[in-house]
Amino acid sequence: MIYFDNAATTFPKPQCVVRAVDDALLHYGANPGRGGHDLSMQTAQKVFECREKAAQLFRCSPEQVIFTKNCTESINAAIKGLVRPGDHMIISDLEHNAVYRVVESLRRQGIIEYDIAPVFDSDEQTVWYFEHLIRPNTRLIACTQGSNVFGFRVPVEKIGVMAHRRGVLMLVDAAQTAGVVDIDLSRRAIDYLCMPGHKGLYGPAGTGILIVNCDILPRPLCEGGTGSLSMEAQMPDFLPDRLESGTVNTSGIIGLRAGIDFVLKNTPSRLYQHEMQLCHSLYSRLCRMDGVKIYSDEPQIGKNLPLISFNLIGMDSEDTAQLLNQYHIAVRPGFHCAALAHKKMHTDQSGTVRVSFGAFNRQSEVDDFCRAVQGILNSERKKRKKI
Amino acid sequence: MYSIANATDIPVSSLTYAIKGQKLLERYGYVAWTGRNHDRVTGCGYKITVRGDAQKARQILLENGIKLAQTSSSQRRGGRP
Repeated sequence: MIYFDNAATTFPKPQCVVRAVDDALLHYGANPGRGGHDLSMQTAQKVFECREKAAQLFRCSPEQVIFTKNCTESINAAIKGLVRPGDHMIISDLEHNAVYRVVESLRRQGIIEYDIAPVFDSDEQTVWYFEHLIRPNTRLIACTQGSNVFGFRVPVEKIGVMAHRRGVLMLVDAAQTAGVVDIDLSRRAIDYLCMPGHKGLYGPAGTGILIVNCDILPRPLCEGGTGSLSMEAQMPDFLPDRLESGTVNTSGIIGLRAGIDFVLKNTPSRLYQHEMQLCHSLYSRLCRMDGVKIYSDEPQIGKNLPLISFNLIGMDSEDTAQLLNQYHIAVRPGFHCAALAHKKMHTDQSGTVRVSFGAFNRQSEVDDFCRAVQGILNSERKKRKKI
Repeated sequence: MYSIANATDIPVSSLTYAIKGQKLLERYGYVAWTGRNHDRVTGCGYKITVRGDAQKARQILLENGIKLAQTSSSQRRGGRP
């Protein structure tokens, strides 16, 4: 099987992750941060090591690292915990529904208003539009670092610098970039960084991270036991406890620690280069095929993410993906939970087929994929001739 | 801080800070370990236990952003210890 659906979740996971989860279930089964017995403390050490690894990768402190169940939960926790009635927000026109539906829901409840800023080829133009939309009551900009559908990168650090100059907080959805793009929180352009653990960080499903990189702590969305200050009626005012109530996903987090270690050893830069090389190879070959419409840009280091959206002309994206599945190739068709991005690119009727790469993909798989696409095109042409 | 023999307990605000603090002190050459700290007023918590100069250890922790817990020995509730 050829797995080209890494933007949904990376697969396969590195062997070190498999071993770590196995080890967690066999040897670190106690509840971390609740008891004081040896097994609880040993498990807590393992969980802390994951915070340390994430802090190393994103250059922050371990206590800033909050574990969630996925990127969507991280985004919900940050946005809903920060905005107040009467606030204004700005998002981009490439947002995933993880951001779009949250702000739309808050708007419908009469809590906030928001504007959508267009993303352009030119970073300066993009930043200018975001700045142009700032109002006196703008509390937060929430912006993806890269489109999950088309791979366009968004200059979130430049937007963040501008936001801070104007007294606005900056949240970044790093769903497609964490582990692939170098993100340096010590530069202080980003206040809240949201990411899944199961994509570019190669952790198990059910893991996510929110990094709080400023002094303004979101109100907790979920309240309950933290293993600290347990006689107090209110949630602690310190991280990570304030935003991390209930038992954490211990085995997932221990697996995520191994995944982040895999990324640190291979470096985001090398992983990105590898995937972009495959992406470029695929792009140039698809460009030469009659009957293929590509929506993504020619992959350029620094400008794009390693994924391509395309359609076979005259075919529904779902049908194309089904036919590719018959060749044992996994891709993602449809709308990718990204209504705004599809509207922007006028693919909101057809959807697109998305190919996304991971660390374990090889050039031979790109070759096989291209042969499969050519086979589908040839067979469709034959069908049409008969009609 | 409560000194017992050569070891001193330093209550901290969370388990995360306890483990972070323990590792920090070990880098400074301290023998330190993390354990549970029970406070009758605020409830469950954690502490770092150190051997050696506890005042200096406390200073190192504070300088490195480790949030120490407020002790509430003066307002303990009744009941058996």
